[in-house]
Amino acid sequence: MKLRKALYFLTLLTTISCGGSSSSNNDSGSLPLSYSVLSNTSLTQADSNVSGSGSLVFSSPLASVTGESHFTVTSSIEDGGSLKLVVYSDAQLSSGVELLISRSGSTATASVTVPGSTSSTDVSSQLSSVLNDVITGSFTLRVDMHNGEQPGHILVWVADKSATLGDASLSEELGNGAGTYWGLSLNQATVTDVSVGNAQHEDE
Amino acid sequence: MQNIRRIISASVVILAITSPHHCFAGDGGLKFSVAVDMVGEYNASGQRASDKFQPRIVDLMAYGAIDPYFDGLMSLAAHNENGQSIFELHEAYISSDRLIPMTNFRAGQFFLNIGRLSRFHQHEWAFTSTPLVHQSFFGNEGVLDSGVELSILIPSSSFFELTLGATNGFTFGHSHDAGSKPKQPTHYAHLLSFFSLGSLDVQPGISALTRHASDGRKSDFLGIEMTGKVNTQGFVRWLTQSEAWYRRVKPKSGEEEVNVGLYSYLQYGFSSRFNTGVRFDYLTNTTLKDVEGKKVENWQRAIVPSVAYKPSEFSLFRLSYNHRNVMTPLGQEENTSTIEIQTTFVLGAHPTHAF
Repeated sequence: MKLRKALYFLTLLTTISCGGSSSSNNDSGSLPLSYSVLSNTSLTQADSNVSGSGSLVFSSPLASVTGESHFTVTSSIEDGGSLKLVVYSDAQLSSGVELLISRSGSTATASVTVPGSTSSTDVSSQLSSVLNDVITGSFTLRVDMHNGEQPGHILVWVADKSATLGDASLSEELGNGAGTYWGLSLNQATVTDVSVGNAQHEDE
Repeated sequence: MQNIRRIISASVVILAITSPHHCFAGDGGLKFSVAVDMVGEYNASGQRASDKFQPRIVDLMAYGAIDPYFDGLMSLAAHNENGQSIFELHEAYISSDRLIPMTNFRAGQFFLNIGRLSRFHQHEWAFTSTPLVHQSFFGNEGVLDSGVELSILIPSSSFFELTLGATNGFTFGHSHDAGSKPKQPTHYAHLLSFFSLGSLDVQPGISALTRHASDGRKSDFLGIEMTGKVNTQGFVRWLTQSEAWYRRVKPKSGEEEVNVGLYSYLQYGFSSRFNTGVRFDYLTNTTLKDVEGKKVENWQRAIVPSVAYKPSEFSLFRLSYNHRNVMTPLGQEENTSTIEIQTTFVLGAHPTHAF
């Protein structure tokens, strides 16, 4: 009888521990792009999103340190949190061009930092329509980074605008990244979709 | 007052006629030319092209002898930038091949004498679109900068011309601003030769260039080129033109990256007016790795057949089909095809190239 109870209890424990939870804390994941976790403060990974606080680098590199690419990130940020998109960096997300979106109460801010620069460039006024979405819920960043130009050229569009220079909310030449990797640094944020492809705007 | 105006007007006319620098085209003095290059790019598959026909570049040029010792050239070019034609200074330099025997120098702003394509204005190229390696390494046209360049004809029974140059290096390729002072000026060397094999004239060359940008990024380029022509009955029956380039980029804090690429073009002339050609492009990053350090397969290839109708040296109509095949670092193969239509014409006396 005691043995039966013990076996029953062990079976129950095994069932619970192998339960149907879709959340896990692994060293890698897929967003749909596969990535590796660099730091995991409180990162929760699911099949189609990653949330919490931590940083991750995408497994596939960008084509060339002198190339240009387009990045799309769909995310939401909790009050007091932030999301940082880092592009053309090394595999540790250093020496890259960083676009930081931060939220505090009913205010959101955006800034760009480039390697070798001692300070960030505040671009909140240029990205005001994106920052409104940051406060109200989910937002999508559409970013071109032309790292082959010197200084590197970063462009950001809001979701419903065509990818022309004239429609870009942000177009700044601030500096260049030094690598071919890219990733995200989350602080109380959730990322539900990412993609990377050819630059949307080609300078003629 | 009216008499004074008449005297001044007459003086101006007399000075203009009698001055050794009077400027009338066609008398060996100042020459003018206008070159217009119009291109239409239409998507056959994929969404790479702009789907419109427009002037790609309009080139206004003035050149001639300054005095018995020096020549000068100035060109303004209008490029279509985001729907607007923006005129900018292209080339402005003083040159001489009369001061020192077997030597030519130029100082000012010019297209660098490296490789083959960089030495020619884009509307003079044997094809419409820029080869992938050239676009990636140098931009859509030749490399434009300001500095000095010296070309020396090496005393030899064979033709060897060595060019050495140094330019500011504040910018390289496409730039939206004046750039910033580099760690070192851009400096380069180009060795050209020439020989004939029967009716085939061949011009091989080798180029090297180094640039150390203000942010610490160092770029080294090495290129070889080969141009061959068979002329018959006063026109080019066969033309072959190829360039292969190696580029090493070392960011200040980052890993070294190596890219290699080439293009090869072959053209057959049915007559002086009709020709057909095909170009093959290839470009790859040989050092690309994923986050785990595994090598990542990647390349860009293009095949570009074309036909051209050239009524004279001053006009051209060309139709090309540009099929591009790309293996992205994500492991996806992308195919795009573009139809290219080109029309160019030249008004006036455009300077010619030796080969």
